[in-house]
Amino acid sequence: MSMDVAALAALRAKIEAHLSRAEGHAVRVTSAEVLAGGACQDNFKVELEGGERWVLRSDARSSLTGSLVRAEELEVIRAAVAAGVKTPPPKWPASGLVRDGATAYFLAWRDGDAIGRRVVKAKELEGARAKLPAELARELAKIHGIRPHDHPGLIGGARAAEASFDPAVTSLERLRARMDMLEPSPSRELLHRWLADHLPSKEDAVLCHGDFRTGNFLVMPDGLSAILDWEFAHWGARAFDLAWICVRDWRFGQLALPVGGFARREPFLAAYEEASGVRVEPSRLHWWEVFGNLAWAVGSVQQAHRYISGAESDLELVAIGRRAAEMEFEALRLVERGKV
Amino acid sequence: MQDPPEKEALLFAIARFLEEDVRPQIKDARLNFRVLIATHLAATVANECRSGAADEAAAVARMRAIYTNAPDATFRDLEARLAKDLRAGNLAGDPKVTQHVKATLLAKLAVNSPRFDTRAEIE
Repeated sequence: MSMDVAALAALRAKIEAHLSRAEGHAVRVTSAEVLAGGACQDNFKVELEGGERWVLRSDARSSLTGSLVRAEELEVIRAAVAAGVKTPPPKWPASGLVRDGATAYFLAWRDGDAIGRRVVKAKELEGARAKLPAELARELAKIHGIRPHDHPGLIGGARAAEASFDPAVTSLERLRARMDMLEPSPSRELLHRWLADHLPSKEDAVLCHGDFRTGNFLVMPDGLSAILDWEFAHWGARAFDLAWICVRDWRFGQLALPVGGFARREPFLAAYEEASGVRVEPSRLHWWEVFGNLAWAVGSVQQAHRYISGAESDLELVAIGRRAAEMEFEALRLVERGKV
Repeated sequence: MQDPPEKEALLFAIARFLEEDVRPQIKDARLNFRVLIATHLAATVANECRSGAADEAAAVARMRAIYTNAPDATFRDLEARLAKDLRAGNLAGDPKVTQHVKATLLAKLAVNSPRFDTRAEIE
């Protein structure tokens, strides 16, 4: 989004009023600026008198199907923080702060790099890249330790806790619904058919981050700084997250390093097994990596439609649509290979 | 009917101008990245001008080999019919279908992502 100087000044005044009320004393905002990067939310960097820095996240005008609204996201992050996940705790929720009807909240600012190309290549992050597989695996194990029967009110936890709930079937049905909103595509139907014909056996649902990949965590030279971007959190299969970070597009050119473009699979999976006590079969990881590539192909076309419909005007969105063939080719390659 | 340059040459000229003359001047990282995207998009349309019609004709021929009773069907008709059949579980395992899907994806990649690595082994 873009905002002119007057609109930013007005937002600053509203933030000051909100924080002053919440804190019970006058809070001064020294700067508020638009942050790039959010596809489904408007993000701002807010600095308070005294130097404290916060990120303000507010619902965007249009979003992606399947993404959480900020009120739900806030609850997911609170659960993650309670489970000890390395993610900044949310504070000062508000309604109508940035836009009428939009929920917003604040996250403590964390330093670090999230730009994919830098995370996989920057010289000063070389040491971090050696530590990331184990650090990320430990964070995932904590996230996956959050179970639906302990959180029936959290984003449909009651349903996910039922014995009949099957994460793979549910994820495939949701993908079906998203595909039905797009133009008919033989390649995507062929892949969906393969997934439906090769469903993994049922397993218990865990909390999935939903977008756990290079670009959505902050990295400092000494390692992982914070896990971000919970808008696609859902109750699902642990292999969803483990495979998603390996989806080809998140390797940012480092194809031979499947885990996020910085690590081989084995050390990452071994660290996950050690932290979680669960060993995920290779056939499940293969199925979910095919799924992940198809889901991102569908997501790419959806991103383009957000531009085509007139809801958004970012050139990056309209360009992503033409990249769907990359994810579909990769999914087909994995199907033909029969393993990751 | 236009005088030279051809539309492909114009689009490649735009791409080259953006890449060589404009992008080095743009210090803002976000905007710089979007100029790079614009470069790619101009080159994509130029590639499509060159091969789009032949790619579509080849795809139609492949699909008419699958649907021998549809000599007049258009590309969109055939795509929709094939998608519907695959969704219903028909034609599963037909090597002509897999071959068509793969050939279509390769043609799309050649236009949109010419540097995409299409080898069977990448890791």
